[in-house]
Amino acid sequence: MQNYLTQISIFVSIFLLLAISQNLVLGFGGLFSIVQAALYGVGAYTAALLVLRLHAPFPLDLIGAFALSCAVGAVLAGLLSRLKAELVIIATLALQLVFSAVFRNWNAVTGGNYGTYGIPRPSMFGSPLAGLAPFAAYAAVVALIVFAASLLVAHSPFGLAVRGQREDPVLAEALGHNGARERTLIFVLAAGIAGIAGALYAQFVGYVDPSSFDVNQSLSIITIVVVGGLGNLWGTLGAAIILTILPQLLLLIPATSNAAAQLQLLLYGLILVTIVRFWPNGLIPERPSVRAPQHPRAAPTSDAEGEAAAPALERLDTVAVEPLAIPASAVRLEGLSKSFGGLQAVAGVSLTIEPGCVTALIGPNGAGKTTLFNLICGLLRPDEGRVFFGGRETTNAAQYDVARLGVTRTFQDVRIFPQLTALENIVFALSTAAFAPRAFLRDRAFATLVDLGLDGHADRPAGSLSYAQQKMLMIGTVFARHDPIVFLDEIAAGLDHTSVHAFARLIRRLAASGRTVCLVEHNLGFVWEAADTVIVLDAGRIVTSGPPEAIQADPRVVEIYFGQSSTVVRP
Amino acid sequence: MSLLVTLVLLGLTVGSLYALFAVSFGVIYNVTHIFHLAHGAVIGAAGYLIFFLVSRLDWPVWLGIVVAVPVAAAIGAAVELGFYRPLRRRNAPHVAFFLTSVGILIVAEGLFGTIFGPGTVTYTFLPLAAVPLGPTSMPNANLAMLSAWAFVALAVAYVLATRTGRFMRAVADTPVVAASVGVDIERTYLISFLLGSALTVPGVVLYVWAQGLTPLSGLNVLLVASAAVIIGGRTGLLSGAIAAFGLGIVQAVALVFLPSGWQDVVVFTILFFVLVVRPNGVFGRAFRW
Repeated sequence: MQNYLTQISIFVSIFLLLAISQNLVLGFGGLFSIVQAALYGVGAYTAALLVLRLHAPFPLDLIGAFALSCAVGAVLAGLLSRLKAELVIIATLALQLVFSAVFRNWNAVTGGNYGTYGIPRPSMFGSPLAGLAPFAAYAAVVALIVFAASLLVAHSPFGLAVRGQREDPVLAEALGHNGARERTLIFVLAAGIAGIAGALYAQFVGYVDPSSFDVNQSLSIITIVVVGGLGNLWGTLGAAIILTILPQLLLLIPATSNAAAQLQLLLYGLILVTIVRFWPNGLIPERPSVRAPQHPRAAPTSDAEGEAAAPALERLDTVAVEPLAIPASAVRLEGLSKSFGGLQAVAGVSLTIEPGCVTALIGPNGAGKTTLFNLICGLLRPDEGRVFFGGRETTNAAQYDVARLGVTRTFQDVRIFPQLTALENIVFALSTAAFAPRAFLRDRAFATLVDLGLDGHADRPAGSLSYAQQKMLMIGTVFARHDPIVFLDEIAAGLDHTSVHAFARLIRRLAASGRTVCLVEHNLGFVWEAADTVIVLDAGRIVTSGPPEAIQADPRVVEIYFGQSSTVVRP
Repeated sequence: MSLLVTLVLLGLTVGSLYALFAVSFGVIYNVTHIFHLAHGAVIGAAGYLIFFLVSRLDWPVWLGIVVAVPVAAAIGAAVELGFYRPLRRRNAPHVAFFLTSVGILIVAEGLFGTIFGPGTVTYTFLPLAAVPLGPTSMPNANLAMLSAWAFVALAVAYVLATRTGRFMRAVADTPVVAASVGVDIERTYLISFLLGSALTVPGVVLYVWAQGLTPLSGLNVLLVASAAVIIGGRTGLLSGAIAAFGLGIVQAVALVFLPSGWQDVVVFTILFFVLVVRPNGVFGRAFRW
């Protein structure tokens, strides 16, 4: 019995590693990968072959398994990075089946269906870990080290970045994060952890065969992660323990012991189906990587939420606009063009957005305003023309590279990371400012929330905030970053009169501090109030530009907006 | 040379069977966009049901097969009504559908294994025999697989010619527009599940006749079928059927160059690289339904 329990504990360690690996990819990274059992197999065969063929001493087998799984993971991540999320599922399923078939059939290396036998237990400090208990201790230590390291990663700015790109890759890039690289890194790390699990398995069982690394194994690992909660490593720990022990109990009951393997599948499947059926968003929520530094004020009750955002507006006038150390640069466009299929969205636009003033782009729907923003900020590549930030050309730069030049850009309506907390949203926006310590980022982000009156909601998922609060949160990313160049896309949309004035004053203060501010706007009252220069676009071309008074008086603008030529003589 | 001819002929027959499975999966996937892995559970259930009725209860073969058709359709519909529809109502994420599908599949695998054992069961009432064919010969089951095209034709005709079929094509192309002109989307989904699930019965009979049935058969067949549908490009039933037919031939011909067992590697490597290089399928929009 003693031996039996020890044996189970070793399997708990192995499955914990596998589940961590799966959760990093699926829960944190948002990549629906079903290839984890294959990477587990890569680790197991690597460790086995290193020991059997090359007589590699411990811990070289473990390190080798980790390294090769990482390498395989890197290749796969590279190939997968081009795929849409729903195709990643199918592509990784295909990969899992390819690996399974290779394990079964590459007789010269894997031993085929019969597997590879006679792998000795490792020796540590000169004495072999032949006994069960010492091996169990060693396995537990490895699993816990990986668990602790994964917790650190999950709670680091990198972990937050990985979750952000999962929520909204475009927004993540606009805030300066290279989402594709972060996805690749987390996939490689997870592959390495699966490889470690494989090495432990080979060392413990002494025998590696393909049935342990098939698609059903991948599905079992996913079940553990779903039970423990996506993005929740503590939940994974609990689920790995419970779901490894539970099927073992089936072996103890005489009536079920014969079909234990079949019943384990049945049990896992039932658990998976039940959880998803009744809790499609998961049983256990993920844990935020940072929490508010002081005890937040009692959050207002839900029925008072509508009013809760209103007082925050007055705060806009007192929010500190940090002075700039060096003046912002101008943004210069030269003959920028972009068409989508047959539609010319932007046609040869040249303009300069000067620092220290507010430039507004106006024009009817489809005039190419947002396309122009996307071209400037690197979300789209122009067909022709060039973009300069100061002396620096960014025509073909990625969105995150433009953001790192000190550019903040907001999106139409509200765009935030709904499953990150309010505080995390701001920390995310800050964390491209390189290697600042976590506590510093947290305090600075929290100060922004206090300024905006959102501190009471710091630890709530941003998606659960009211519309006005989400909009304030989006503005908060602009403040928190203190970037010298700011692009605001329809910031006044959906706001009432009072709020519009408050936003206009705020934007004037941003420009007064020397920043380069550019708006795309439909709310003309807001534009007349906030802008120094107005540029009118229609059908992708600049119609006219000048100070608000001149534009207001321009008959061409009236014509564009009301579709009525001033020369038409009405009967 | 005669080996190659034999293998190509075998590939033609197996490819025909794959085409039928691809159509049965494709009806559901094209219309509902659910990657219905639990279709493998329906395939397995139909196969085991016929085995149970005919081999264990001594029903006539034809009756066992006929009864399996509505039962398979009902199981598919039950998955839609009991799981996918409630998930849609709750606006569940994409992942939830996939997990449910996976869960049902592994529950079914576990059930089949517990009841019928993990080994292979065969239809003793459909004995295998070699049919001489000029210089070579072919198992009777494989020759029968050519009949799969009749069912493929039926399914395509249904989708092209009937009012419900027109709704299905409309929902597959633009669900929002289809709904706005009054197509009952939920009902169309349900009919897709009924049709696709019913189509598994002729397929599974031919499959088990040729190679027997294990708890994993449903998954194995489904994986090739779904691979074909995706390689074909999800633009209708024909593209998937043609891709499946091609995969059957490629698998068979691969036996000339590779030992058996490597066929899965060939099929799924093709699938993977098609996904990476041409995520919208190899045929573009050449085949529409």
